Amino acid sequence: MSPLSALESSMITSLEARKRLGVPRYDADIVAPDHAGDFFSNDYLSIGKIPHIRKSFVDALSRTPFLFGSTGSRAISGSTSHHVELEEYFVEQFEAEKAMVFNSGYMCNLTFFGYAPQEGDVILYDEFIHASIHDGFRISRAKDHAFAFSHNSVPDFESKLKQILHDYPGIPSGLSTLFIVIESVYSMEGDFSPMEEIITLVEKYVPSKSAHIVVDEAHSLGLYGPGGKGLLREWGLEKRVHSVIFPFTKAVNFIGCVMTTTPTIYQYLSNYGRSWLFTTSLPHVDLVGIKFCFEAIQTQEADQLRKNIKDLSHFFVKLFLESTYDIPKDILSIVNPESKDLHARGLIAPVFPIYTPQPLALQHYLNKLGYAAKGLAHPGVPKGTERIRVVIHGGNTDVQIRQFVKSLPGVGVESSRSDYHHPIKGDGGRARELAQVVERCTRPGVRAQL
Amino acid sequence: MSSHSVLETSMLASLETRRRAGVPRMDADVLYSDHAGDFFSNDYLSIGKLPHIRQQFLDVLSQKPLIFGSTGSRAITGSTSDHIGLEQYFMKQLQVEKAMVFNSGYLCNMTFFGYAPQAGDVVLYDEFIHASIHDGLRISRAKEHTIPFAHNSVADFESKLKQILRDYPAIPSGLSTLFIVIESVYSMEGDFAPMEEIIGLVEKYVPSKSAHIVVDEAHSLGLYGPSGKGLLREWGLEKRVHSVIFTFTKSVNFVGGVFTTTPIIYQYLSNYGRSWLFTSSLPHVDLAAIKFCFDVMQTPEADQLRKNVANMCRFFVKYFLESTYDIPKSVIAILHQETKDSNGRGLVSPIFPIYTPQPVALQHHLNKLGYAAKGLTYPGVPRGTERLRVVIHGGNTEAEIRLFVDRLRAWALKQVALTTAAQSRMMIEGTASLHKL
Repeated sequence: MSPLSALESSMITSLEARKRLGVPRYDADIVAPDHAGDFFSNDYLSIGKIPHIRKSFVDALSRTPFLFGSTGSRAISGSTSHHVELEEYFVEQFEAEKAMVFNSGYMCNLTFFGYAPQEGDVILYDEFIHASIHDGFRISRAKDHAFAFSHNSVPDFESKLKQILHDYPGIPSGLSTLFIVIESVYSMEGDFSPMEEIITLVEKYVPSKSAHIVVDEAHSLGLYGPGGKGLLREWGLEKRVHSVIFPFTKAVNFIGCVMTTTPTIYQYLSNYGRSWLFTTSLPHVDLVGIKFCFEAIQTQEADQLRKNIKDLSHFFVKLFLESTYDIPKDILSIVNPESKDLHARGLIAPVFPIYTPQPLALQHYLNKLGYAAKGLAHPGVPKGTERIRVVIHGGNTDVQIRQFVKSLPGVGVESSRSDYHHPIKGDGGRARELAQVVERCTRPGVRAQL
Repeated sequence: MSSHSVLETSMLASLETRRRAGVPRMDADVLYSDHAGDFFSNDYLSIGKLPHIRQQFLDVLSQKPLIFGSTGSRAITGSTSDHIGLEQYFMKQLQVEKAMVFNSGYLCNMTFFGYAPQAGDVVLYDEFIHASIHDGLRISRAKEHTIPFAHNSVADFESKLKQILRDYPAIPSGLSTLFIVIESVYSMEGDFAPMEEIIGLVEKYVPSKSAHIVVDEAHSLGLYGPSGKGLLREWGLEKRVHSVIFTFTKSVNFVGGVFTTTPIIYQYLSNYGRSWLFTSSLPHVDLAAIKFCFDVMQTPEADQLRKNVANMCRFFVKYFLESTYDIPKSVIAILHQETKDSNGRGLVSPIFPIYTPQPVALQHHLNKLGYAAKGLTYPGVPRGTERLRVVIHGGNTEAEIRLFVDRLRAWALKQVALTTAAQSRMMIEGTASLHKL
């Protein structure tokens, strides 16, 4: 196929259009170096750093009779005793009525949100929920009745809630369901949801038989709660919500997801959920891996890693603010900790967006130093909030953090602070340095990876 | 939640409606024993039964520094050298321009069919393609322009093809793409696609820059081709198609899939495919296992298993036909061999639908004997084609097959006796409506 097909011509046109708009391109076939330290993965706890954990896992596998595939979907021959037992394990672990193990958080969200809503149901969701949830909505019967409330805004939630009860009389009369969808901690901002306030408003206004609160604990599982079992359990709210999604792909450092819900919903989804019915279930080795990793997050070593995260996160914020106090916030800044951790009740999330108008320049600069940074711009994040998403892990050290902060452009410059002048006035040590770095990185000839 | 929520009430009502309509319920939390022998899984080669394979895999794993999760999607931090290394491995193995590893065949189909079709494109597909392809098409820009052709019918394919070229002038003028979608071997019937005839017609009528033939080799990988690399390669057709889907969840006996395509399509999908962008990539242990299982598929032991599958299939058919010659086809029947393997060019597939009007009754009978059977009815299969989907594996023995068929015969004879008794009773009692079994 030496001349381009019509398909490829059209695809290239789209990719070019994005490039001209400055949208970063994703290269799935290029490895980003991270020898300088992990400041970007979702391996929050650095659980792989627990001594002997690799060997323990291989030992656990060697004691398992079955390792390979299930070769069937959960509807046909892919429901083995190991699949069923893993779900029973989670029923016990979470003290839930029923647990449904999915191959991924994406498939869980696609299945639940795609197939649980019935005709006449309505959805009220935080505007920043994950893309996988939107993909579920789009195929559901409630797709034209899904409403967003302003991110983490309790007043806007209340206002939209009242509006929905007014516009959809089926809900207050107990004939239809209102799904309320939030995340415990949000992936891109690392901020906490005002969960208890939202739950309370639902309890106040919505008849209990019509309310269905869904919480995605992707970025809180392993970090908070007894044994790392999540934010709902940290705050004793788990009995006041209905279905909870726990992906194992961040702190738990594996693959797959479990959703806790009711037996009826489990039965319905396992009969109607196409994304459940028509995909092969997890191979046996993954069932072992999930249980192994879930136990690992409950160990004392994991408790210590959780403590490390907390300490190092505070250290990072302090160091970053000290080191960048004289850099204009419109060049480089992190979210004001007061607003980031507003609803956190003293907890801290290890996700730190670093806002900069030049995320790709910053990415390339950091990549060269051995950091696997990724610049994020529209449409991945809203315009005006371009950033790189920094993560502090249980296995990061304060030396690494110092080195990382010092590496940031404009920081660690030998000029004294008194050299600094406001960039609008043109002169100034740090601002000039940063501008030079940015200019160098965006010059043509430098790997123009847009 | 002691009294049901309105959500659950509605769900229970739907499940009840299905129950009344005789649709079998799928219980994901109920176990079916298969101690009497595997006649239902997709583990076609029984590769897991090879001696030492478990230990070999553990040895491979113990050499790997990374075995846990990737903790990111392929767009962000989940593209490690292991992930890219695996894709490069497949590029070499399959001698293709580009290979894209997916977490599952389902996600591969959702991503390709959901995001590759451009505005103005058209899709012509065999009516029996897998549900996951439909789920992709439904979210694509071509969703209003998807046309089925009668299963495996070359005549209907040609007719629909010509119609599309008339109705969509952008295709013959090389401005839009016509996707042609088939499977090499179909999952529910176990029959072969007339691949070369279809490819020949596309080459005849569709300008090459507008044609995009996609083949899903889910049920042929591991069974045919040099070292089991699939049906296209068995028949030397791989260079005449454009994108191919290979899932590792049947003969290869693991999880995941690889999609062979062009570098531009790879790049486009890895930037636009939401079902790729927003899911975490495979954990390292799975990457190691995929390569391991794909290597095992190519060994002389696997060649022997492929031979076993073919021999056992022929034995099963022969013994089944001998054992049921005196039983009405309306009680129990397999697909007529000439039909099933009509496009197989002498090959046989190990999937055997066993048609019976009472699949759930047969399922229960077999479950009690230790077979993990599942009765399939509408809406899973078309009305009038209720069945059990029997599979013959590399590891099945003649003795197992004989016993299995004997038990099928025993059940069928009971059904015949019941029918005869019922018919006699009705004739005596003069019932007007002949109650179908």
